[in-house]
Amino acid sequence: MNQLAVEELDVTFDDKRVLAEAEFGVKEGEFFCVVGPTNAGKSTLLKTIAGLVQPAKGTVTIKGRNVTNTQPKDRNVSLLFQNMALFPNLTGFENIAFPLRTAGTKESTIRDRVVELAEMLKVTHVLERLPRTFSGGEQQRVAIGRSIVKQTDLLMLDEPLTNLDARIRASLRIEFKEIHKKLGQTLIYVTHDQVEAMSMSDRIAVLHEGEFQQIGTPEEIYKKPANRFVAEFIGQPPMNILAAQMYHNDGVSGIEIAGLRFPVPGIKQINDYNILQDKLAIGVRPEDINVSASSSLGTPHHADILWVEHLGSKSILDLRFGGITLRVKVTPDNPIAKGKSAWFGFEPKPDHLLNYQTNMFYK
Amino acid sequence: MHQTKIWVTVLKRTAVIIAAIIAFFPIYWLIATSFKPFEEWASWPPIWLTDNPTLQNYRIVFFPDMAREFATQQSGSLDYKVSGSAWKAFKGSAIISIVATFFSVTFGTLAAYSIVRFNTGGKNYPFQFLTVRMVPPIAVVVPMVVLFSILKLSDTYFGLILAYTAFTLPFSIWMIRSFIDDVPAELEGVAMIHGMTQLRAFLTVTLPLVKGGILSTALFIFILNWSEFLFALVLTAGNVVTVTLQVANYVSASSGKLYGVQAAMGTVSTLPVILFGYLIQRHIVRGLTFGAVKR
Amino acid sequence: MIQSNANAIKLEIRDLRKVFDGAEAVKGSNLTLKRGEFLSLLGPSGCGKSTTLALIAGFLEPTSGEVLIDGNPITHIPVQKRRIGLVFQDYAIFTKLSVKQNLLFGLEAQKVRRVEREKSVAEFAEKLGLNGLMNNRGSDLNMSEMQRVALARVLVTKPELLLLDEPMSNLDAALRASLRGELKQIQKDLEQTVLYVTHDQIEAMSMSDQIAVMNNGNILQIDSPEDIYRRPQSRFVAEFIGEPLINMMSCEVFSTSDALLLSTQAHKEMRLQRGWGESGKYLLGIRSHHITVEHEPFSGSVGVIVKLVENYGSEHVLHVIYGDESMTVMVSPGFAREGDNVHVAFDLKDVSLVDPATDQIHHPDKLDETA
Repeated sequence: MNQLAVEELDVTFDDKRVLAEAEFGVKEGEFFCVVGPTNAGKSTLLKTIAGLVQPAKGTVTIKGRNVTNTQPKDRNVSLLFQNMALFPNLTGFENIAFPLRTAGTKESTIRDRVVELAEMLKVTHVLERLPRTFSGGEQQRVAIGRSIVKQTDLLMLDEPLTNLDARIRASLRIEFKEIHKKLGQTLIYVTHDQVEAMSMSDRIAVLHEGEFQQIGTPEEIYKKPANRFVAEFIGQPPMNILAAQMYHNDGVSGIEIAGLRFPVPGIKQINDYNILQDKLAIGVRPEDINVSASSSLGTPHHADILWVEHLGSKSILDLRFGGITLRVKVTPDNPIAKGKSAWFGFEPKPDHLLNYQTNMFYK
Repeated sequence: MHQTKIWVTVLKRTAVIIAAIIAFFPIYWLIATSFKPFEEWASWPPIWLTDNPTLQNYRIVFFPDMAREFATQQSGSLDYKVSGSAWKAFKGSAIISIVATFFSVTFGTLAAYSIVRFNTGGKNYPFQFLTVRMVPPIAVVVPMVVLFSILKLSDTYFGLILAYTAFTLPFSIWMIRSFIDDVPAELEGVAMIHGMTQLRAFLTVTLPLVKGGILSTALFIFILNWSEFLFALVLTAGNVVTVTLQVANYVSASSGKLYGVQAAMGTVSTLPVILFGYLIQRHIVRGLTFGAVKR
Repeated sequence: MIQSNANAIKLEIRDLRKVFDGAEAVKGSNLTLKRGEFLSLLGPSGCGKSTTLALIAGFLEPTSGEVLIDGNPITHIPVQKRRIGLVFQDYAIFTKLSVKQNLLFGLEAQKVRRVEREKSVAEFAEKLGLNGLMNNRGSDLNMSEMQRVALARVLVTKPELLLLDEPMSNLDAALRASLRGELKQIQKDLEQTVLYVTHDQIEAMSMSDQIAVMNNGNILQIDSPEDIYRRPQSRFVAEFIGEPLINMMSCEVFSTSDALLLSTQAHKEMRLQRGWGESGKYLLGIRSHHITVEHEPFSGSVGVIVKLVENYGSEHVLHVIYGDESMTVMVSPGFAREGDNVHVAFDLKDVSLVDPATDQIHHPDKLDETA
C-alpha cells in the first residue's frame, strides 16, 4: 500500500489553476523527489498535502486514511519550508523541541530526544542561541531537526538546500541521504535542481506549469524522457534536440540531420512509429556523441568547434555543422578540446525520436 | 573622512540644532509658563525664565478652593473662577483613552490578521478603511452630534469611546497589518502541522512576535485619544470631561485666558503619555525596527 | 581597434585595501584585466568580492591603493564619470517601461544627443537580437531577453569595463546554464571587457578567461579556469573549485635510502619522484574523476566498499570507504551499487599535496618538471 496517494488533485488561486490533475503515490520509506522550475506548483503541492492549502478537487490519502478535509495538525505529516521558518524568538533547543512540546511530551524525553538529534545534526553548539545568530547551514540543520524530531507518516522538504553555498549544499545532500537511510522515513523532496533530484531520489516526478510530466526512477527519467521538457530539464548540459528526417537506403534506416546521415541499427519501419516526417526531431545526450581528431567509423562527420566550456571534471564542446549547434560532453584531458574542428558521430536512439509539434517522444 | 569636509559636518549639525530648537520650543514655553506668576504670562517683552517661580498655577489645577483661599490672602493676586475639576478630567480622559485604545488595538489586530492571512475583503479592503480618515473630522461633527443625541450617547463615556475607537481603527489596522505581514505565514504553518489550530498558532506564535508593533500602535493611538479635543467638545455637556476640555475651562471673566494655569494643566497632562511611553519603551524599539529588518 | 591595443591592460588594481570599522574587508588586492577579457572574481559570501567590485565601480573609496583604467588612475573620479557599466543581481529591468525605453534610459541619464541615442540603441538592439522586442514591456520578457536587455542597457553607454554582480544567483539551475552560454557569446562577439562577480564556481569556470579566487579579503590565486582546477595553490582553492568536492585523504611522506615514499590509509609506499622535499604528514587531494575504479583487483589497487551512490545522469558518484575515511569516485552510470566491493587506484601525477600547517599545495608533477 502507498504511504501517500494523491488523486486528481486540482488547486486554484484566484481562478488560476496552479496544480492540475496531480496524481501519484509514494511508497513507504521511499525518497520521492518533485522537481521542476520556479512556479511549477511544487510548494503548493506540499502545502496541499500538509493541509495548509485546500484543493478545489481531488483527494489526499495518507496511510489509507483520506485526509483531504482533515486539519493540518491531525495529518501526522512534517514539512520543512523553503525559508526554514525557524521561530525567531525561540532558541535552537526550543525550535527543535516545538513539535514535542505541542504534543505534550514529557520534559525528560524532550531533552533526551533533542540532544540526541542535535548531536546527529552537529548543532549541539547552537541549542542555547537564537536563530538570528545561526549560519545558513546551522539554520538548515535546526529546521531539519524540528521536522524530524517527532516520528511522522510523511516528511516533506521544500527546497531545503537553496540559498546555501555550493559547498554546504554538496555535503548536506549526502547528509539527507544518510538521514533518510537511518530513519527509514517516507520522504518527499522538492527542488528545482535536477542534480539534487537525480543524485538523491528513488523516484522523481517532473512538474511543469502545474502538470506532472513524468514519474519514474532517475534512470528511467534520464534514459527515456516522456517529452521534450523532461529531456531538456534533466541532464546538464541538456539533451540536444535537432530537427531530423528519416531515410531508408538499401535496408539501412536512419535519420538525416542537416544533410548528414546517422544510421540507426534496429530501427523499425517508419510506419511502425507513426512518424510524421516533417515534424521529426532527434534527441541526443551530450555524452553520447563521439568525437575524435580524425575521421573514423564512429566519427564520420566533420564540424567546427565553436566554443569550449572547461568545467573541470568535464569539458563541453559546442560543435557547429550545417547551421546547427551540438553540445558534446568530453573528458577534460581530451586533446580535441584544444582544436578548431573535430570529427563526430553518434548512434541515434529510437527512444529519442521526437515529434516537435506535440513535443512528445514517439513510442 | 576628509578634513576639507569639516564645514559640511558643521552645517549639518547646525541644521539639526535649529530643527531641535524649533521642535522643543513649545514644550519649553509650556513648562516655563506653568511656573510664571500671572503678571508674566503674557508680558512684553516675553520673559524667558521667570525670576519669581510659583506653584500657584499647579495649586489652581489640583486644589482650586485652597488656591482661592491663598489668593485672597495675598493682595494683588489673580481673581478667577474655575469650572470643572482637573481630577475629574484626568479620570475621564484615562477611562476613555485606555478603553478606546484597547478596543482599537484589539479589533485592529484581529482585522489586520484576517486581512493578511485570509485576504479578507479582497485587495482594496484596507484602502476602504483609510477612507474614514480622508474626511476632515470637522466635516462629520454635525451628523455625529445628531446621531449621538438620537442614540442617547451624548455626554457619556461609552459614546466617546465608541467615537474614538471608530476613528482610530484605520490607523490600528494599517500599522498592525504591516507588522503581521512581516511574520512569515510558514511560522504558523509549522505550528499547525505540529499540532496547533490556526487560532492557537496565531496566539502563541504570531502574537508574541508582533507584540512590540502592537504596543507601539497602542502608544500612538493612546496619544491620539488623549489629545483629542473636537469630538470631546461637541459630544459632551459637562457630565464627561477630558483633559483637553479642562484646559479650555481655565478662563476667567476678569482676566481672560488663564495661560499659566492652562500651561500647568498641559504640563501635567503630558505626564501619563510619557509614563506609558517609558513603560513600553523596550518593546517600541523592537516594534519600530521589526519591519525594517530583512527576513 | 589598433592591433597593438589588443593586449592592452584595461583594468588594473594595485594594493587595494578597504577597512570598515577596523575590519579589513579587502587586504591589498592586485589584479590586471586585459582588453576583451572575461575575469571572474570568485569566492564565498563575505569574502570581499562585492567590496572589491564597489571599489572599482566607485561606490566606495579605498583605504589605500589604486584603481587604473587604461593606465589612468580613477581612484578619485566619481562613479558617474568612470565609464564603467554595471549589471546588478536579477538584472533589474524596469518592468513598466518598454525595452526601447529601458535601453534609452542610460543614455538619457548621460545627456547624450537625441540622434545619437537613437543610433546607439538601434545598434545594440541589432547586436543583441532585441529588434523584435523593442516595444514589449519589461514585464513581458523571459529571462534570456531580460539578460540581453540588461546588457544592452549598459552597453549602449559604451563602457570601458562591464561589471556584473552575481546577476544569476537567484535563478533556477537550468536557466542559469543557458544564460551562461548566451552571456559568454555576447561578451566574445562584442569583445567587451568584463569583470564578473560570483560565488558559483561553475559560472566562473564556464565563462572566464581568468578566475581570481578570493577568500577572507585576499585574492588567493589568479589563473585560467584550467590551471585553477588542475593546479590549485592552496587548499581553499582546491576545495572551492570542482564538483564533486575534491577528496582530501590523510597521507604521510617518508624517505628511505633509495626512494621517497608516500602512504595513505589504504595505499602503502607509493614511490614519489626524487627531490620532492621533506618527509611529514600531508593531506592528499585527488579529484573523483582521476581515480580509476574496476570490479576486479588490478595493479596498485586496493579494495573498498561502496557506501552510497549519487546519480548525476551522465555519471554516478560512488562514496566509498577508504581506510576509515570517505572518498568519492566518479564512474559511468550503473557501474556499481551500494554495498558492492570495488577496487581503486590513482596516479600520483593527479595528486595535490596539502601542507596541513600552511594549507599550501605542492604538486609532485610540477616539481618533477622543475627538478
